[in-house]
Amino acid sequence: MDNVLLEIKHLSKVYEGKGVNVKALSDVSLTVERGETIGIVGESGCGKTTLGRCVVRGIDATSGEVLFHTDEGVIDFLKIKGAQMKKYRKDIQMIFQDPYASLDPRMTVFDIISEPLRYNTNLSNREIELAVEKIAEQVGLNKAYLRRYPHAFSGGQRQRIGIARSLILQPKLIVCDEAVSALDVSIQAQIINLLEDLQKEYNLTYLFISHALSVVRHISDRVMVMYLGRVVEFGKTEELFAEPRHPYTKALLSAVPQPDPDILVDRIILEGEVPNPANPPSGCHFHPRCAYATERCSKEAPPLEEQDGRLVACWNCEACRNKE
Amino acid sequence: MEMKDKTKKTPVRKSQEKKSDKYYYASQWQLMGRKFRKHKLAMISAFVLMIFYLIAILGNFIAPQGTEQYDGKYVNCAPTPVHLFHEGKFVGPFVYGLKMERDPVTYMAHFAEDTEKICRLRFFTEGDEGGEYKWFGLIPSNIHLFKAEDGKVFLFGTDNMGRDLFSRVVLGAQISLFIPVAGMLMTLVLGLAIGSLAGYFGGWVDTVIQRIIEVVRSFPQVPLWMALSAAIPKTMKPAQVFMLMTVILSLVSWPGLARVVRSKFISVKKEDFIMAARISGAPADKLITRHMIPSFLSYIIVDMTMAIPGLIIGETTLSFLGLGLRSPATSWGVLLQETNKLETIMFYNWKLIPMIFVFLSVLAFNFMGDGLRDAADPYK
Repeated sequence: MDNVLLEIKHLSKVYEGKGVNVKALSDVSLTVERGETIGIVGESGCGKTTLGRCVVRGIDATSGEVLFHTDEGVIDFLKIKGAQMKKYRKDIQMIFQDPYASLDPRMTVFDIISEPLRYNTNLSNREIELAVEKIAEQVGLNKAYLRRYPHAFSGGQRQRIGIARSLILQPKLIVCDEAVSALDVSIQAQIINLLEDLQKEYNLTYLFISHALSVVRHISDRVMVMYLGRVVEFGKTEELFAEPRHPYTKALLSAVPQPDPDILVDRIILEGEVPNPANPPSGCHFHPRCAYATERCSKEAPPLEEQDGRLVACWNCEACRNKE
Repeated sequence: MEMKDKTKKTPVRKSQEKKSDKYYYASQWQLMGRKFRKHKLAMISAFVLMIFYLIAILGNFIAPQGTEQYDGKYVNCAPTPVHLFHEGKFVGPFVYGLKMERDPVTYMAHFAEDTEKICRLRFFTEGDEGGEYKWFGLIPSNIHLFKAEDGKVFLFGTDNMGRDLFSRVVLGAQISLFIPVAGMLMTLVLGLAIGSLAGYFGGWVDTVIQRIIEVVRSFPQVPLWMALSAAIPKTMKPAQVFMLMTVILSLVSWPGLARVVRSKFISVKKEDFIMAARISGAPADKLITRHMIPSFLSYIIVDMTMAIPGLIIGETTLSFLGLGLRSPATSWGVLLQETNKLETIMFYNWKLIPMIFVFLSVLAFNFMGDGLRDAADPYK
């Protein structure tokens, strides 16, 4: 069996409004292997949340495929219906950013965690109870609290509830959409450790969407950098952090605060603001803010090309590297 | 463990913990109840309404006269005060006998108390002939709350046919207070169903429903009520008229509610917890009934409570105009029909008493709605 779990191919999403079409996601392709964690980073509005939601079918993608490698062959997760949907829906789950908005305040914690089981399995009430208790214990929730309502819990505990809900169906892939960014730093660490432990135990695959670069660096095997709906760079975490190639990645990484005050960083300050995605710049979306932009950049969009095992979308990578 | 030891030692802390524990286990409705109870005016209103509805439910027992009974001897009699003392001596609740007098100037007849004759009030006693009724339409009985021994007690006076106004107000409450609630429930069903369709599916379904709503809403409400009510055959039984009026009221008022439901649906569709339920495989019907409707039902109930006064006034208006129920069936609107003459207001002002009840119930519903609105979202 190949080790590929998911192939995202040419995924695009256009939000249609009155008179304006916002291309939130254009032609994103990505291959995910079993058991790995892919970090997806970028500024807010770059399309990373849209990508995650399209993959889990929280929203409908405009075009493209999400090929899911199952024991019965490859299926397009975006097109399956009926019985097939019922069978594979549970394999791709999601952890939400906002632990307050993502739990129905009118249901007890037990009902929230057990809900996916009721839709996807035919377990008896007793079996459901046992399953919920088991998963609650694993994510560090006290069994005695299961009959409480979400308003009784803090942000970190609520996120544990959300994790328990997404785990209870034993999915293969979990999209973590800013799963820790709403939490305190100390709680962030706890949740990330929890996610890592669970990954080991269940051989989970994560799409870890975040704007917190240090977190992504810690948890990811590979990192994808997005800008205005396009992938600009994709590579192994250590390589990418050690030597960013795309000018945008460079600027992004230089913004990470260094805990050691003796390390001097050449901070690259980007000029201007993120362009309006409803009316993106021509050619390479990044060219108006790029220090290395040439005339070509404003005319043609650079393709995502492989350079030494890494994917970069830039016309002038060589130039940027030489300049250093 | 340490915590537990501490709580044992300090009872104050224990009670505090119990309190917060209750809060943690409280469902949305329990949280709403807590908030509602803090709204004094709303609580008082709820209490008043409870009493009104209780009186309406027990109407046949509380009212000394049935709807068909009248006494031609006592036409347009003023309210008879209930006394406790006769010439300084305590005799318990009683009324004096009534004698007719004529005004020496205008020759108008009126009733005066005959202080020679004492009619004690008897409680839980057999009523007059014709006062028979059935408990909840099942158990026949003629027991009434009170009655004057060999005399007449008219707490609110009588009308121009000699019918006891108090009895008619009490029995009228059965219609005037229940038609709006029944109409509202029907409106709720219609509004929820149609609004859900429009809000959940969107697209052309939404467009078609929106246009229908616009057409229905563009009819002026009162003339539409009047036209529909005028179509009710005069020979119909009061129970059937009641049903039809309920239908008419809800047919006119569902579009407003459907719109509210639709907009709530559209806004709640974007909530994270709805997407979470969808991702976990919830089918459309479960999504609507388990997550979406419960998330805004409290707001809808507030809207409905606030809409009931309009329906009370609607029913009263229709009956007042002679388009709703007709005598001898009674409602507050029917009773107010008699007050459409200046003469009545000048000489028989007690006939305006039903208006006080319309006023009080409308006010109480509004205040209660206010309290409910404050409590509707306990998570803020």
